[in-house]
Amino acid sequence: MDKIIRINMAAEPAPEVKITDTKGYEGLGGRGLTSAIVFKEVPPTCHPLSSYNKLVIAPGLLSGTMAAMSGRISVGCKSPLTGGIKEANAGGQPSQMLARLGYAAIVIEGKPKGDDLYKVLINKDGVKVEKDNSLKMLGNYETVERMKKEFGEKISCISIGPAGEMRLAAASVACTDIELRPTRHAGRGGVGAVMGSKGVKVIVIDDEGTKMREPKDRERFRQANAKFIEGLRKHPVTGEALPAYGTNVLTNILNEAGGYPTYNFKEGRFLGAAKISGETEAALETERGGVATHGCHHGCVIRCSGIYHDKDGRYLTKQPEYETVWAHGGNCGIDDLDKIAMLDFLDDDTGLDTIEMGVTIGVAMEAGLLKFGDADGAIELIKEVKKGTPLGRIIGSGALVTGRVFGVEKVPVVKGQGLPAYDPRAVQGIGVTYATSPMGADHTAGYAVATNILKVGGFVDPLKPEGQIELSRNLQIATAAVDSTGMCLFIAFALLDQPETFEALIEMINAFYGLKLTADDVVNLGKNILTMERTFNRLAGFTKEHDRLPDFFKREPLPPHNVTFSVTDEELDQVFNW
Amino acid sequence: MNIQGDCAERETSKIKLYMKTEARSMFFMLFQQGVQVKTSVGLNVRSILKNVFDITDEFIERRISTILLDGKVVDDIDRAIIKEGSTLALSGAMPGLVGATMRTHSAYESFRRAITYQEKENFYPERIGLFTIKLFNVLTHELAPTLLKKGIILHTEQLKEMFLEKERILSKYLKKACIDNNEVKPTMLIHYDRYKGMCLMEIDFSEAENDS
Ligand code: SF4
Repeated sequence: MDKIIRINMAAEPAPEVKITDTKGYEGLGGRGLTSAIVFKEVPPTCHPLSSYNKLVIAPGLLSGTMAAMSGRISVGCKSPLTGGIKEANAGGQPSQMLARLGYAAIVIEGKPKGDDLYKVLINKDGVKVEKDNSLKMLGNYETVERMKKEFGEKISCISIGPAGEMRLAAASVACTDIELRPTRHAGRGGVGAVMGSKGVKVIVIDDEGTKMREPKDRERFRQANAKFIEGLRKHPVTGEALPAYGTNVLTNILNEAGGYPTYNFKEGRFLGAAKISGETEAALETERGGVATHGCHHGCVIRCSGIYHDKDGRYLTKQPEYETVWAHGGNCGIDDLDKIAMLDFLDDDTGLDTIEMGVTIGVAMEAGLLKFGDADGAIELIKEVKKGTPLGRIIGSGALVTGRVFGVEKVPVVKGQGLPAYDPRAVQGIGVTYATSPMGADHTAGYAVATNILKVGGFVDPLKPEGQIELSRNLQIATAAVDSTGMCLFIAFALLDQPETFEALIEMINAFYGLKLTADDVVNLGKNILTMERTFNRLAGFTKEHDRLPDFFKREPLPPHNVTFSVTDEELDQVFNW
Repeated sequence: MNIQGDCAERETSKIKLYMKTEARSMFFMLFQQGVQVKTSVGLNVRSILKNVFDITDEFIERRISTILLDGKVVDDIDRAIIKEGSTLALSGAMPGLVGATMRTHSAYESFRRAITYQEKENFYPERIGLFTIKLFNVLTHELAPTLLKKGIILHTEQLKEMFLEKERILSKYLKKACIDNNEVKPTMLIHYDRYKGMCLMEIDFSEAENDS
């Protein structure tokens, strides 16, 4: 993994491919690499859809190896949704394949003059970029079907749907899963719009003729991987809850705790929660002949995903995960799993971030465009996006734009990005992360390794009121580091409780690269990534006033506990004070 | 625990089902919305968990990761008291930072201080009373069967709706049904209009036919 593919889409008469080394970016992978390239090479004040922006796609440090869980891929750029730096990541097969071909990243630069659409083929013989206007405005599913016909079934694809082609700010980048379906999305921040602005519809990866990446110390690596897997299997979250129910296992408990945002963040409990919970979803999938325990890429041992069948037992979509079920479900007052699954399919096919779409439809409901609970109306709205009607384009531009167009006061966004599925008035520490993450309101930015395992910034007393500021800071640092490994963030739950599993992960990296990394080095990596991201945002015009939640969280009490967000602005400003 | 006790007359009907064990999971969904049990209330969470589910301290420590009392996270199960009308929700380990935050004695307790349970009562008299139990995820499989055997109290409409939805499973796995000690045909469970309001349901999952 010592090469970078650079595709200049502005070159005449046709896009130009250069293969370079990784000089200046050695030792970086995943989010570390995407953020470093964007930081160094993209002017912070450029328009996100201009030729100056770059789309960077990078497998993680351990992708393409025997390491379990190592198939996440990072997609980075300047975000058209937030105006700041963005890293969105996804599972699926492309990360492993790209890494096995020896590529640390694909960097798509420039912008073609006309409106031609291109496909890119990457295999052991090199990289080919071809014009293919027959793909115009196809959904992700049909695009992948065409690629299968052309290149066979042993490929993986990274593609955009019509939303990306229309350069809508909620557009995602889709990655194919084990079944070669475009179900895994780098969803957040409009990364699909940037790919669309470059005129690239699909990247096909064919790793035939390649082998697993070989570690420097094979035996040490094998042992560390075995220890790592054992840790994941024995932990109750990664070994039990996630495989059995997926991430949607959170619905019932968040709802019971009054922290499940309902009706566009009006209430903390949804009456229909049990109808759309992970327990109900898993039972329904099994009953209909779908699958309730499934991996999104080879090498996943947690397998939090699944396959959702319709009433007639036919494939409808992958198992919608917690964020999606919440965004289209409770947030919009919809308690019908089949309709939510249909919305998930339409989002995936159109190439849209499910969280942003759910939040946006919630705002449209608040505006009175349709009623809360109107599932068919919500489905029609996503279809409008796919058709590219004026209303569809507004919705596809996200919650902030939709709120402005319809004159809505209560728009739950930070830095222009819709809030995920936890109400920050109930779980205030999450609110700290939503407010201060350089990515905009982002739930994954706070999933990570325990402070006291990493010893980031010393031991934090969680019982002190300021604990949540330190914890949020430390979690963001640790997340940035894990995001660089290519590991699925769900490993964090086992790392959190089992220091030996965390040590096994560091040991794997060391054995693979012949390094002597310590926990401190991992912390420094996380800090460096966050510093680059924060600096980019500052140069793009962000100030501390952007690190705030919308006002209504401070003023409107959230039933049933009637709590408001009480962390002060001064406290929020301390998060990055290290 | 005697959940019928001296207050049994407050339920209008008693339903007893004799089912094959394979059908157990059909009842699990009821526990997401909550069922009522009658037991001694006015005791702390630990005592009630042990009384109602016949579980050990070790099980509580190892398997019950999150405990919510009236929607708030309980850290001190020896101090929090279950009262008449309380709602107790139990969950196994859950993913995500929020999952970790919701755990009893979480390192991230400060993240959810606004919804942490604080016991206000110093004394609450012990008496037989009703409270609601919700069971989520892995704990449903582990704890619901004990409760089904001992008896749960729920609204008959909730029950009829479930029987209607699971009619196929019911007809396949139901061996015998009794309403107020009288044997009835399975179809009566859905259409019988003599039972209304709240009812007590007990389920015997043994294979025996005649142990009513
Ligand atoms: S745990 Fe879930 S998201 Fe992570 S790699 Fe496995 S299936 Fe994909």
